[in-house]
Amino acid sequence: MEKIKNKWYDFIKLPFICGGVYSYFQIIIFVIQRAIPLLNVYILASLIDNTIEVVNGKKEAAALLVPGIMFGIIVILKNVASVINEIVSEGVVSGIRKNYVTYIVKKCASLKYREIEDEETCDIIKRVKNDADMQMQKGYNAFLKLLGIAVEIICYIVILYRITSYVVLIVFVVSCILVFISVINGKKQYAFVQDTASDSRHIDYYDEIMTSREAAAERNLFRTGKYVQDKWVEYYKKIKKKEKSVTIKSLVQMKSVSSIMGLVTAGMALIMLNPLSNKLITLGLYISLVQMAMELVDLMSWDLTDYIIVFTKYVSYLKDFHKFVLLEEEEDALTEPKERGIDAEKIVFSDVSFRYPKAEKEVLRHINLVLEKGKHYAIVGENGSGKSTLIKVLLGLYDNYEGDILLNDKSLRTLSMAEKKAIFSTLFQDFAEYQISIKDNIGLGNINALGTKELDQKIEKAVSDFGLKKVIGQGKNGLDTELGKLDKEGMGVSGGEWQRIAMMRTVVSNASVLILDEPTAALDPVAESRLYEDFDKISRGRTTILITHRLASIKLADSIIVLNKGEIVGAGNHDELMEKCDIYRNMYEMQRSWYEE
Amino acid sequence: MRNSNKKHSYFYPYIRLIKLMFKTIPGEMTFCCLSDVFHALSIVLAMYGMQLLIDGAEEIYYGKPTNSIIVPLILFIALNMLTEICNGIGNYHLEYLSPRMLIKMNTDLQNKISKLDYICFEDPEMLDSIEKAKNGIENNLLTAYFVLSTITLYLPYYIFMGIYLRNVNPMLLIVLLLIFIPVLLGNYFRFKVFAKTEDEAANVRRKKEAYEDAICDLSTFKETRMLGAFHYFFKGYTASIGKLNSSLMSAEKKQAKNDLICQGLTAIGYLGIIGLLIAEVLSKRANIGSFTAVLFGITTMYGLAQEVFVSTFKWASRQAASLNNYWKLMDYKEGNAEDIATAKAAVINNNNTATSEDTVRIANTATEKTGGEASSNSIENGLTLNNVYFSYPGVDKDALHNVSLDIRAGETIAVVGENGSGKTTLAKMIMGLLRPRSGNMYYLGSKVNYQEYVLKVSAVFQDYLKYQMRLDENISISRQGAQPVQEDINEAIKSAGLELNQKHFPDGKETMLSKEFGGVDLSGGLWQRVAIARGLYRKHEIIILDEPTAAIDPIEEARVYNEFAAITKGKIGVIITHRLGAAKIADRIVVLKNGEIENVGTHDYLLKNDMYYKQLYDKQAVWYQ
Repeated sequence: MEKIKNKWYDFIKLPFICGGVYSYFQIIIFVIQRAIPLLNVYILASLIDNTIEVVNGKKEAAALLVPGIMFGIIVILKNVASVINEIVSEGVVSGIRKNYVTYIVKKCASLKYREIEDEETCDIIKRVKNDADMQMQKGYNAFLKLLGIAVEIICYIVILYRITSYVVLIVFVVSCILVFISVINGKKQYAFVQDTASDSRHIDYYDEIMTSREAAAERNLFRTGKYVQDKWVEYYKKIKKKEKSVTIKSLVQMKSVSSIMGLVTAGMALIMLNPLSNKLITLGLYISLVQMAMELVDLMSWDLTDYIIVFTKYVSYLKDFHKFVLLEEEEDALTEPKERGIDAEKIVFSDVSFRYPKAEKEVLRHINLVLEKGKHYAIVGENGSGKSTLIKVLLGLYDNYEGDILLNDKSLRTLSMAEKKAIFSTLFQDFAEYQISIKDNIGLGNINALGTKELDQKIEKAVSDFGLKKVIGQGKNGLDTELGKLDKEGMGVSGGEWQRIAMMRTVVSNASVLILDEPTAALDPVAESRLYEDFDKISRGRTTILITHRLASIKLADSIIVLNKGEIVGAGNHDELMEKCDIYRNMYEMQRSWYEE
Repeated sequence: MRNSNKKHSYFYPYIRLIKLMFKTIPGEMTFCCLSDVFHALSIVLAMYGMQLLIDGAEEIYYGKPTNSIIVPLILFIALNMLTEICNGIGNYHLEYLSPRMLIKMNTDLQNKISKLDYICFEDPEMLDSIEKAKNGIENNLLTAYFVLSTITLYLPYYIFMGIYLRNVNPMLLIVLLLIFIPVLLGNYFRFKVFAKTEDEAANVRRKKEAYEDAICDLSTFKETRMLGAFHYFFKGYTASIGKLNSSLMSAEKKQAKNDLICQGLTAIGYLGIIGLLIAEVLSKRANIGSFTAVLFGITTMYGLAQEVFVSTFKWASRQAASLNNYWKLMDYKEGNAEDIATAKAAVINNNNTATSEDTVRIANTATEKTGGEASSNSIENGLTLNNVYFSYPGVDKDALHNVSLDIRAGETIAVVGENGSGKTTLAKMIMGLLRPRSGNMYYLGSKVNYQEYVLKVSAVFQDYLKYQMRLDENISISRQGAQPVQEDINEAIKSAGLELNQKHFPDGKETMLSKEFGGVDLSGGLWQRVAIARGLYRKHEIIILDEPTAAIDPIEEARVYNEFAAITKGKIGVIITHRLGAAKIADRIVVLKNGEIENVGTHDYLLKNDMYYKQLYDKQAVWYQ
């Protein structure tokens, strides 16, 4: 799976590679299942003919033995093949899950960060990732079925050709028309799904308001249900109306074509009467051929359209997949941090400007900044001033900025991701709530030491330092208690507790630069205050960058940087800023006014 | 679902759904059944057409003139076309599922969910069940049609075939059963095996998804990358895929064994019929026409049974869990939460009788502490909570413990406390969303009748919704079932401090507030104001502002609190906050600690008399000195 080269034949190749041994079995079964109807034509013919001869006294009853046994074998073979096919198909799906689905997840994890934040890319990823195993399996299955139908038609034509050559032409032409109509129908139905995509999104959205947990409080108090439901019904009816006309049209089309095909079958039955009366073919063969023609008509009038629709979807799914494969990857994205990170003596922002890909507005403008070892920095500013973006740029999540960031006089761009991971430890504003054990949730902060006694001790110390001992005591397995609801014995913790757990990741980390993005957002005043008091325990003398709009915390900072609309409008200590920076003074006064006597 | 249903819970959901289908769309269903029966008949007739054709062909083979076949051929064509038409009609039901039925199933569920007590949404099990019930309503309906067709299409088909075969040889009937019964049995086992496996696999799937989210989800992506934790989660991910694969595979293998036995029996039956038929022909009791017709008829039937049953039942088994959940939810009694709460309360009250005297005393002191102003007058005019207890499902600890509180008419109250002290729970209690496990709420002197009470309450929620609708809809949605009143909307917009400028609201009140549905995006601050306008538009005597968590900066936050206090003049206003500085704007402050009321009073009173409050306040104020 590692060396995927987007090729047009991926639609066979991918499932085949994934399926491994099962894929070969599937081919064998495919051949057997396709051969059976053809063999059946001859075996049945011989069975019928021999029966007639025996009745007419031309042959002994023993003549029935061979075709009879053959017939029995075919029946048993057919049954066994279908049973084994179930197992084999599951084997192929298992392979798809094991190889293909994991490939997608891995690829996803290695993408450049900017791809992840890009809406369009996100949509592609979503489409490729959702039910990837089922999409692939259904598509591949449809392909095999279509191939099977084609093989059967061709074989049938070959058999017919030996009897009457000009009937073949008719069958061929009619088959082509039928396939053509099926393809058009398939495409139409697929287009219908895309046409109504916007209406469907409305429907999904209204349904969410009426049923989701997030909307429960307003729904219960405001009783928004009725109003929204009317809208839901309106859009739902709209879609169903469109669907109705599409369905009826395609049904009528299919049925009229298959009626024509039925006429062709009858025509063939008529035409073959001639060789029959001339004794060119036996009665048995005649009957078998008519029967097979009827089966084919049935196959073509239903299965063909259905499978073509599924296959069309599969092809456009693969188009998305091909786009997905081409998305740019970050080197070293998946690696663990370097064992020993570089000790950051000095970080220098040198005229850094940045705009998000596809955006016009610059989020950061000409940032010049020096961060020295062991000092505490606070970055303050209103929402949208570029605080969090500054961090993303520093971490190397985005590297398409202008200017340069130097770490110990070396450009950050030259460092590998693994090195950067070892230098920085970050508490994100939207920190992750991993549904794993408490111990691992914290220990991930120092992943290279995971499982060592030393780290375990650190974790235990952090837990008691941050006052989580009591909470963890409620879990059945202490530190090994799973968080979240996946496990029956899993434990739910509050938002504030989650944040403390996320914070401890940075505490146990060996990184030399610590970044805290809005660490107090989910905390109550007491916890916030405690955090400020414990700040030394967290920072342990490391360089610290604190992003906040709660100005209380600035007391901790050696230097405060005020960001406004992507520019640094002030830097210095509190007193300096109060004097010369209006924006800062306004923010501070506003907050302090709450606490004036 | 009650236990008694558990035994046949695999099929029961479908039977119930089919019943509902007949009740909702009796016309369509009757038509569907009749056309199915007719379809079955047409297949057997087409077989008869085949017999006629072959008889004709046989005669030609033995020298009769070719034109003698015209009549059988026309019949053959006509009968086959009839089958095709019946087939088309039958398939119409499956291709185009009845909109009335789909709307009925969906709206029933929606109505049910919106009627559920708010508390249900705090229960993860309930949420899980809602999620499952919502998924695949269409598939459930489709499967119900399939299940129904076993009775309306295949059963008549077998009966018609039986009649036909009986005319050839009654023995054939017995052999027919030999085909039919193993197929049915095999599929019954299949249904059970897969329904069970899917039940078990559900948890593994959830785990798999959790690992996947940890790696790929936007909310965790950057952290997982910076931590270098990919391999940690990927290991878990591949392990759960392995587990899923092996459990599904072992189900398939188990089923294959069942299948081989059943299919073996079927094959014997099938071959038996062929043998019998040949014997009939040899003894000249049947002609070659009926021999081949029956042969093909049975082959078709056999193929149908294989294909239809196998796929139907596999489907049905995968869907059963979802449909089961649907009914489970529909059967859920809304009052249930209250029943459970009272039952629980009875037990707890028994334990509490010893301390009930203390309770009263505490309640009294609490009132005294407010400065002795509380009088019978306030109870008649305002809102009273009397010894209220509350706990969330599955949590032993009380979220609210013996809370007693009087709020006078026209008063603005601020509720402060640490995280987890019960602020939001108290807010939801006052909103009428949560109901006390024990204790009571009184409004205007009488015990709260929730149905009437909620009509007098409005709120600005902590995590208010950003409806992807027009601005005016976003506001008027709070007044249930009434036509929007434009003046009131304008009034609400004004009071909430929303400015209808061209920049933010290009279409004025009709501006669509959704990027996705072709409108504009608002900033957090503007959304907060829309939410306030929504709260104000609703007719209310009591209004609650829960602390905004959405990202608004401190300047905006201060503005919101101050303006809110001004707006609520003359009505009961409740502000939930943990910024003690902001609480000062209220008439009185309620201090919550561990679910209990620590103290009530004005800011100055509390600062002087309540150590805990002073401590909380100082802790915040100290950073601004």
